[in-house]
Amino acid sequence: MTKREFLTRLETGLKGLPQEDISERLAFYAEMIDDRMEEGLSEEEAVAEIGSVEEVVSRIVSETPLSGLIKERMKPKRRLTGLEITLIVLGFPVWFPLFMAAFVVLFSVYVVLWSLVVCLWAVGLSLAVSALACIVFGIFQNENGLIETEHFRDALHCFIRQRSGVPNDPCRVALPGPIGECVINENFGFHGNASGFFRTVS
Amino acid sequence: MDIQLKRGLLDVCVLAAIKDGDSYGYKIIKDMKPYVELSESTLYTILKRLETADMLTVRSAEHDGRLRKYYRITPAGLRRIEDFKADWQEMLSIYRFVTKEEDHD
Repeated sequence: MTKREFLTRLETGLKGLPQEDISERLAFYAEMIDDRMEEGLSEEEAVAEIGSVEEVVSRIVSETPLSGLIKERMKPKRRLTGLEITLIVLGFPVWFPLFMAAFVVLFSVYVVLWSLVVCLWAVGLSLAVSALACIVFGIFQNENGLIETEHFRDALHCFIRQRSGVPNDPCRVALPGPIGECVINENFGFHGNASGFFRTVS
Repeated sequence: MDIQLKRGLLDVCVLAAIKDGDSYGYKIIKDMKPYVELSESTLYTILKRLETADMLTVRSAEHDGRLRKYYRITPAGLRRIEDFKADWQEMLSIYRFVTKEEDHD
């Protein structure tokens, strides 16, 4: 094995250790190999004397305190280089609009979902209102289902007379409808009870 | 040998190897070879430990177109060697006691 091979393999084997440790150790072993070669050993022999890479790695790892290994693992592996920061800044006109577009799309989806909810509410509310209207107008409808405006007008006149204080003037308005004839008298009032509101004439 | 015991003893050995003058990695191993086998990785750890304990100092010097690390002992390192020599008497007593037990078997 050549010196370069040994050192490369060693570096790979030591991955996971703190970077400073790795560089120091590589320098140390490189020096050892060089010293041996100076003594007259060939490169192969010098490397062989150090021992196998696996042996060296396992010995180093066993001697490294656990805290060092954990710290290295916790360190953020990539720091932004100056070049990367420059590229991000320069590319701003490109990525920012894209980013905003994506954001707007997501926001509009959100709005759509909420408008669906509002629609459902609106539908429900309108059903309730129309049901109420049906009940009210049912009183005023004739057999054809039409509201006889005459009756409605009479009822309204009655109501106005009552409200303006003409005493004891019960209006009898024959309002056809499922309830029968209705009398609107002094009890007519929106705050009156139901029987006062529409008292059937039997 | 018990690994903890050996570790402590090897520290002193390395200190003794640089006691008489600056030395470098491979030379330390060579000097110790007749007495004790020392591997590179063990030496590295010992040198690091001694440096942290301020028992030696490190400097880089150029040699044959490359950088070599030279190690120099400090007063604290010399004291450590003296402590070891003083401990030796106690070690002898312990040894005598341990071997004495065997004789009476």
